Formats: sequence, C-alpha cells, structure tokens
Amino acid sequence: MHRYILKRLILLIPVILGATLIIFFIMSLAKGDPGSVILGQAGTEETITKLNESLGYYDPFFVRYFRYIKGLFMDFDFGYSWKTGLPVANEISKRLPVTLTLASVGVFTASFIGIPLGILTATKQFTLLDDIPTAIAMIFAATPIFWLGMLLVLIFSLWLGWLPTFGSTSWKNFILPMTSIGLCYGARQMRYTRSSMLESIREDYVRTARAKGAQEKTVIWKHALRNALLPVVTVMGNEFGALCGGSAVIENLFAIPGIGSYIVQGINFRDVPVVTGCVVVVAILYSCVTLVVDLTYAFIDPRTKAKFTK
Amino acid sequence: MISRCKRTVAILLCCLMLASLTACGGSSSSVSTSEPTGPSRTDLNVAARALASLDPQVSTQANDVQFYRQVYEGLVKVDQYGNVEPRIAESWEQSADGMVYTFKINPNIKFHNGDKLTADDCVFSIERSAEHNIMNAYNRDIVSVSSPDDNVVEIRLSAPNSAFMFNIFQIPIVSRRAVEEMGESFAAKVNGAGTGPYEVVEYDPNVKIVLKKFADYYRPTGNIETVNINTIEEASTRLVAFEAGDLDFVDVPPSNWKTIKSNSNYKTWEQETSRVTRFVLRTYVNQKGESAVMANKNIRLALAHALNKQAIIDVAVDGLGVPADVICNPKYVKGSSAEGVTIYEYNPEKSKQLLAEAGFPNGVDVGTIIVPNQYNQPSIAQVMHAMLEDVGIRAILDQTDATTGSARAKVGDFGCMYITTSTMVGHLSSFLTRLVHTSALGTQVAKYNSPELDKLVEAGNAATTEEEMMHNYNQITKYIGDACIEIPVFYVTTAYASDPGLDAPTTVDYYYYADWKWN
Repeated sequence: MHRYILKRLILLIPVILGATLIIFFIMSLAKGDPGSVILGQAGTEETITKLNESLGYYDPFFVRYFRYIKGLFMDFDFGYSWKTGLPVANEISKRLPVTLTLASVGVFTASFIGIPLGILTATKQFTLLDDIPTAIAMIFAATPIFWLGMLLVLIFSLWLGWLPTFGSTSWKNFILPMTSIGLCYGARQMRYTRSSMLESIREDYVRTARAKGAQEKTVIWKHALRNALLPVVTVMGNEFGALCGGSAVIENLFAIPGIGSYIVQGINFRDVPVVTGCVVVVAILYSCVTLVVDLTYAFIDPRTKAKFTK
Repeated sequence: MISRCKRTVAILLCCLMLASLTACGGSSSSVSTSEPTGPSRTDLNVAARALASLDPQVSTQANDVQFYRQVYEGLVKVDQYGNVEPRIAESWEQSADGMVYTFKINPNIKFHNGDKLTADDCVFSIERSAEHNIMNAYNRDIVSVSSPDDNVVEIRLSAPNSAFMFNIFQIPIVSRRAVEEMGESFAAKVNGAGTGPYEVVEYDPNVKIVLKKFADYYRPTGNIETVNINTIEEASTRLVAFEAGDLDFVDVPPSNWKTIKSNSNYKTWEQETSRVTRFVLRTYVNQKGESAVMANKNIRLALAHALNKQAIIDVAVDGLGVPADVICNPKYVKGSSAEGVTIYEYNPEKSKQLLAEAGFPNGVDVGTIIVPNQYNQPSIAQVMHAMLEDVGIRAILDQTDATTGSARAKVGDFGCMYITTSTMVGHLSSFLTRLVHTSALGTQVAKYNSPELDKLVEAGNAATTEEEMMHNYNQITKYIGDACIEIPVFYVTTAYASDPGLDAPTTVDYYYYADWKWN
C-alpha cells in the first residue's frame, strides 16, 4: 500500500510538467500581451515593449517554460504576478483554504442530499418516492449553478434577510454557495447512486443475503450500497477536483476569494505566472483527490484491498 | 366568576391605555433640548473590485486609482474641469520658457506613519515613479527633480508641456522611510506612506479594506470616520448587497437602473462622465494585406449618417448617455472643443445616397466589427448593426473578450470597425499623442499617420498659453471629425444609488470620501 502511494506521488511530477506545458502553450496562443493590458490606455509602444521585456514576455517559449519549471522544482517558486508584482505563492496560500472549504462543504452537501435520495429511489423504484425525487433531480441537474445561486440570494438574503449576500469571513457566508452546489451536484449524485444501486440490488449476493434472512436494512446498507458506492465515490472525487479549479462563477457571485476567480483574473490580464501557478496547484489537488478515491476503493471493496496488500 | 372576568377586563383595559399613552409620547427627538443632534452614522460601507497593490505607483486601473485618491496625494490636484488646486504643494511657479516648475511644499503635512513630509519625500517619489513603466506616461518629460531646501521642489522638463500639471497630479507622493524600510512588503502590508484624508488600518484585498480618517490631515473633511471597502468583483452582487442594506453606496448597472430609480427608498442620480463610446473604422491595409472598404470616405460618411445616437443610448444603455460629437467631452476635458467640428446628423436617406455615389446602390458588405465583451458593447453593437442593415451596410459582429479584441484591433485584424469605450479624463494632451501621433502608430487602432496632425499635437503640447493650446487642439478635433475615421457615439453616464441619508457628491472621474457626509 505504501509503495502504491509513493508511486502515485512520484507520478505527480509528469502530471505537473504536462499541465504547465499545456498552459504555457495555450497562453502563448492567446492574443494580447501583459504590457498592453497592465498599462492600458497609459501605455505607449515604447513603454509596453519595455514592460513586456522586463517580464520576459518576448523570450522564446522553451526558455520561459524551463525557467519557470526550474524555479518551481528547485525553489518551489511560483513566480511573481505580472499585474501586481507580488509573489503568486502568497496569494494562492490565502485563497486555497477558501476554495478547499467551498469544495469540501459543497461535495459533502451534495453527497448528503444525493446518496440517501439515490438509495431511496432505487429501493422504491416505480413508485411516487422514485418518480418525484427523480423529476426534481432532473430539474436541478439542468439548472445552471449561478442562476440557482442568484435565486437563493434573492430569496434568503434580499427578501428574507436571513443570510449575508457576500463574503467569506463567517460560516453563514458558505450556506448559500453550499446549497447551490449541493442541489446541483447532489442531483447528479442521486442519479449515479440510483443507477448503481439498481444494478447492485439485482445481484445474486443480495438475493442470497435476503434468502439467508438478513434484515432489509442490512441488505441495502451493508451489502448493496458498498458495491454501489464505487462509481459514486469516483464522481465525488471528480466534483471536488472540478470545484477546486472551476468554481469561479460561484466565487464571483458570492464574492468568495478563491482559486477559481484568481485564475480568471490571471487569464484576463494575460498573467502567465498566476494562471500557471493556479493550474499547478489544482493539478496537485486533483491528483491527490484521485489517489484518495483509489484508496477509498480499498476501504470499500475488500477485493481491491486484497490486490493492494498483495 | 363574573366579577373575576370584569376584573380581568379592567386590568387589560388599563394596560392598553398605558401602552397607548407611551406610544403617544413621541420620540425623544421631538423634545427640545439644548444639544444639537449629530449625524446618525460615522461609518460608510462601500464595495469595489480587488485592489492590485498598496503601492500607488504600480497600477493606473480606474478601480485602484479610486482607492489611491483616498489615501495618497500628489503635489497638486486637478479637478474634473481641469482646474489645478494646491495639495502637498501650496503654491508653484512656472519659468518663462515653461521648462522649470518650482513647488513650495506645505510645511504642515504629515504622513500616516507620523513622519513630517519634506521636499526629499517628493523628490524620492517622483524619481521612483520613473522606475515604474506604469507611471511613464506622466514622468517621461521630467529631466531632473531636486530640492533646493526642505520645502521646495524643482522639476526640470525636457520640453514645455501644457499637460505637466495634470501629469504631476498623477504621481502620488509616498514616504521615503516607509518604502525603504518595508521593501517588498510595502505593496502588501499597511505602510502608513500616504498623506491623504484616510489611512489604511486593515488590509485584506480579497475581503475588505478599512480606512480611518487621518487625525492630522491638513484640510477640512466630511463626517465619515471609517470607510469599509468590501471586495466584490461582480456588479450584480454589489447591487444585491446594496439592496440588502449591506452597502450604503453603489454604482448601478444600466440594466437595473429603471428598477432602482423607481424605488423611493434610495437616493439615485446620474453622473455624466468623460468615458466615450466610439466606433473606430479601419481605413488602411492591415498586416494580412487586406484592403479596407472603409478607405472610401463616402462609405464612412454613409455609416456616420446611419447612426441614431440617441436611439442607441435609449435602447442599448437604458438612456444612460449623452450623444457625443467630439472624441473628448468638452465640458470636462481641458483643451477639447466642439467649435467648427463637423457633425453627422442621423439621416438614413442621405446614407443610401452616399452609398449610391460610392458605387453601391444595393448596399455593401463591410466585413467584421470587433465587439469586446465589456461594458454594454454587445448591446450597442446589436442596435448599431440593425441601423446599418437598414441602409444597406452589411457587417458581421465578432464578439470577443476585451484583451483579445484590443490586441486584434491594434493590428487591424477586422474588416470594418472596432467598438471601444475609453476614459478620457483631464488633459487632451494626455490622449492625443497616443490617439493620432505617428510615434504611437503601433498602439493606435485608427492609424492616422498624418504629418499635419503630428505638427498640431506637438504645437499644442508645447503651448505656453491656453489660447495657443486650445487653437491647436481644436484643429485636431476638427481634423478627426472631418476624416470620419473615429465616430464618437455617446459619453457614458454612470448611475449611482445611495442611502437617502448620505450626501455623496460624485465627479466625472473619481469621488472622494472626504467630501461625503451623513446628514
């Protein structure tokens, strides 16, 4: 097991190299230079060129790329923001806990809503307890998350005045974003859980467990669910990773300063160190999450655990 | 039993009477006292986008400058009409040749860290600005800065510059000691390096910045003691926060203006600005070798006459604009004048006639129009597109992000037109060099490339009298108007809403919390 974990951690290096190369390449294709954006209307051709030169913008692609990689691996240096001149690592370290909090509570809420409802609809298939939650889940799965967020703000902040409209300093600030993410992602998880459970409860071992006189609760929660959870855990991991880097819309809507909004700012300003630094962090997070998901399989599925211990 | 009921009813009635007597007592304020009543509040809650840096010489983005103006000051201040007021410098003199400026510093000014401001801090700040590319537009004419004594700053220029006072206003003065002692952290931590009416007491640019009124400020200010600047990037979120009562003042997006204006719980007003939305036409062969349909002046004139500017304002920006006839708003930009400038009235029939004279009686395909995805430009583009279609000018709208649009526009990577909304504040000289002079051809979209314009710009910039400056700049605006390469459409009007108890004067460019007060 330890060797497996070490192997996966070492595999992070090519992942980071690949992700940074792709980002550098894409940013080099995007039109617009940082000098023009930073100086704006105050910029002349001379000052724009001078600023771009000082940022190393005109250096050849691979010179810039290897300079960045060297700083990253040798000094853990994410570089300095072209817009603010401040270390990217400092800014990321402030925003990362906020993003992790948002992603964690979001995925937790989605699972809290989705998994029990998925079990319910699977065990009560072809009844109203299946039809109604499934229909509602389809609506939420199709609802854009930012639209739902705005609706929740309108109702709970503006009309009822129960919750704050923006910010990230108190636990109350996370209720509405958590609910938006929970409802939209929970709908998806409910669908996956339902589908997976329907397969699982038709398996022979479940029929055997019932024949042996096990209680229905034990059959569902101990036998059927354990197997049904495997794809659901994968989806949860993907959602967590997606929220780490892709929650810019939610972050902007609720004025939560996370990694997602930082990436968008970096793209708008053609701030390559910011975008690359954030992508490296998200890539590491995503890899760690998939590692945790794989280890969770071992916890859930004894067959996978046996394979690890072999 | 009955007597117990009667007793209960009597007690209840007594309680009701007592309650009604208390309610009729009125509030304490209606009782006359000898003490005057002060404002209900001394704090202010506003919102802004994230601040780039606490170093005022690192950014010239409007959002950042709005903050810097509260905390830092320059030697002088230039108001929205271009009038110069004393600030750190209490008086100044200009040499006869216009190349030497001598400023006498106010000896009573302190920095927020308690240090007394001296001429050395001014020299340090102006020299430091030369190290920042961002400040280059304002200090490139400065050859040397010196302080003959503690209260005098002398600045020598390479050539006379009619915009010098506006330029020196843009360079904030900071404490030398704070910069040298703090090093890199000067930009990221509370530095006490400003002299403005407010000092920073809490700084978390991603969450909130708290300003407190500076006790030793040397000029009179309003009654707002604390300003909480909450970081909210999204305009719609700011508006919701205002409606929920979390903010006291907000700029209202055009799409929400009618709703907010009709709400009598808010104080609302419109502020004309110098931001101008204009259409820039391509008349030259671009880097790809593509010729320009707009090189034909009759087609350009046809396009100009096809535009109903008031209709564009009414439909695309909900009435928040004033039709523009010159590039820079003559009300606010010193040196700008509409005198003698050709005005193109809305006349679709004349448009069609001009197209026919140009050899296109059945209309013409003019290629792409770049529409940056900012402000209300997509809506403006759609309204304008419909007007052009009506007269037979057929174009394709190409919507893109602002940075890409700007980069493409500078190399002429479009067929017909680039839509832009830019801020033109202060002195015309600041913009004309970039707009029309051949030295800035690489960054221009219109690319006039005219020696005649170059001479007018240089003469206007070097003018030592206002008449001379106005004459030269007027010739430039007339040239631009006659050429019909850049068509000014409207000056943007910004809509604001505030708590009804707040008196918050705004200006064409920035507002100052020191001028605000609670009633």
